[in-house]
Amino acid sequence: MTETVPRGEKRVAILTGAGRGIGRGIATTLAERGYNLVVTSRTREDLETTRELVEGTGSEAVVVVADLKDPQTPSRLLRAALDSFGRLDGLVNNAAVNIFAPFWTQPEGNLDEIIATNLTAPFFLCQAAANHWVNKGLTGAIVNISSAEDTIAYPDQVPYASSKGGLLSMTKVLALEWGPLGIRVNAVSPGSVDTEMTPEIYRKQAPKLMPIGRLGTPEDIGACVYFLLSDDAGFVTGTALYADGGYMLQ
Amino acid sequence: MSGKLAGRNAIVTGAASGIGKATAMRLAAEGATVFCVDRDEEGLAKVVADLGEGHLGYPADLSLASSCLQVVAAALDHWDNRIHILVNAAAILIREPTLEHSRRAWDLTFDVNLKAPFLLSRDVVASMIESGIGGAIVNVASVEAVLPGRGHVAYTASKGAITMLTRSAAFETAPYGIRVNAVSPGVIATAMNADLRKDPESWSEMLAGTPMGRHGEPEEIAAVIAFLASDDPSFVTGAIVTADGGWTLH
Repeated sequence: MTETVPRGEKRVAILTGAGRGIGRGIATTLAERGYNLVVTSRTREDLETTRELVEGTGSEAVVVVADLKDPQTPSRLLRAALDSFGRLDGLVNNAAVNIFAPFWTQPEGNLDEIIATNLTAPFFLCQAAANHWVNKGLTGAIVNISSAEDTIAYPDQVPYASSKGGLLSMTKVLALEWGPLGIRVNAVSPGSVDTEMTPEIYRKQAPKLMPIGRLGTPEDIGACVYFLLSDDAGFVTGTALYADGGYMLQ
Repeated sequence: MSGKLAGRNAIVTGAASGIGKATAMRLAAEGATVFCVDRDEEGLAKVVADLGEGHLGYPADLSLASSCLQVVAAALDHWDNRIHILVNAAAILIREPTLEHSRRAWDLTFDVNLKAPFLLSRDVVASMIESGIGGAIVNVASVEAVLPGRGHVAYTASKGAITMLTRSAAFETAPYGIRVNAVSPGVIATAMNADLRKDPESWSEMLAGTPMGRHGEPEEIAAVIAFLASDDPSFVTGAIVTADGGWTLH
């Protein structure tokens, strides 16, 4: 741990979308490196498994089942962190949804759902965390999980790409405005990561498709998140770290 | 009528003022027939009167999804299912401190700046594919998507979102002869910043960082839009054309 945390004391972060995939990898990586976590998603069962994995590292996790579209969720998560651990050091906005369809057949509801979860919810969580830090005279760090799709296009995902483009710009403006307050805001933009949702064909094609020769792991993304939350990244704000195995170079 | 856009039917949103108005005038000057959309009925009537015979005004509040659907339906009806050009210029900017930015302001900004272009583009693209005529869509983004300003976080995030809407829609529609591009304006003198221009000292201070040392005029953005809407950039799609007097160079 870094010098600002007394020996034996853990940092605390809120992590959304913590029940599966990249979120679970972020949870275990942060836990191994000394974070206690407030983990949230819509599914208790998934979160309980994440909690067990976190506890296996010697850290603690508090489970909050919540719908990120609910305007009360940011204050609930903040309260969970303060009630359980008495502090908040970081926020990781990882939860996201995607719905695939050709652009010209997309129902209006797809855009609403995706923007609400992938962009509106992260903003109001950032706002709640920042208000907490500012009101208490504290500082903190935020990492938003974006996507290579904040920059490059894939088929059938116009609403998702829009949400990630917006998240990247939001990350920049928050970093600009909150820099003087001691709050750093960055993004990690993953490429293809191997999760339970990854189609088998991706795994087969990975050696050819990815310059690094493999798909990413959730723990790869967790390591990037850990770095951006840490004091080692103390001069880093408003940036996106593309963790894509070199895919975007092609 | 002669001109690069002779025989083309174009929808322009935000056509009662600023970049939208300049675009309507420019497209008409190049031979297009323009279907002008704005919530400002009075301003719209003046623009349509200036444009002269054959052009239309359609008052609509684009924050309402139902209005967006009606706009495309009315234009398709009027032009016998042939829309060649759509320019999404309508946008709003709400100044609220980021730590107190309201959900109301956030949602309204996204309704006008992202959802309306999404719905209009979706339905126009569907008609272009059905009629097989191809076409061009031009969105108005902002340099703020990459170099953010302070005090209007939702606007900035919405412009990042429209940037990726542009790129991902371009990717999907390219096989159908449809090009989707965006212009990314820097500081342009419009109603959006009329209040700021009342203080000439701070205005010129802000512009001192622009290599060209001045703000842009709506007509200078309209010129870029007219180019992107024409057949000249026939190999250009998914491009974000920055028109900012060099603002983002440094």
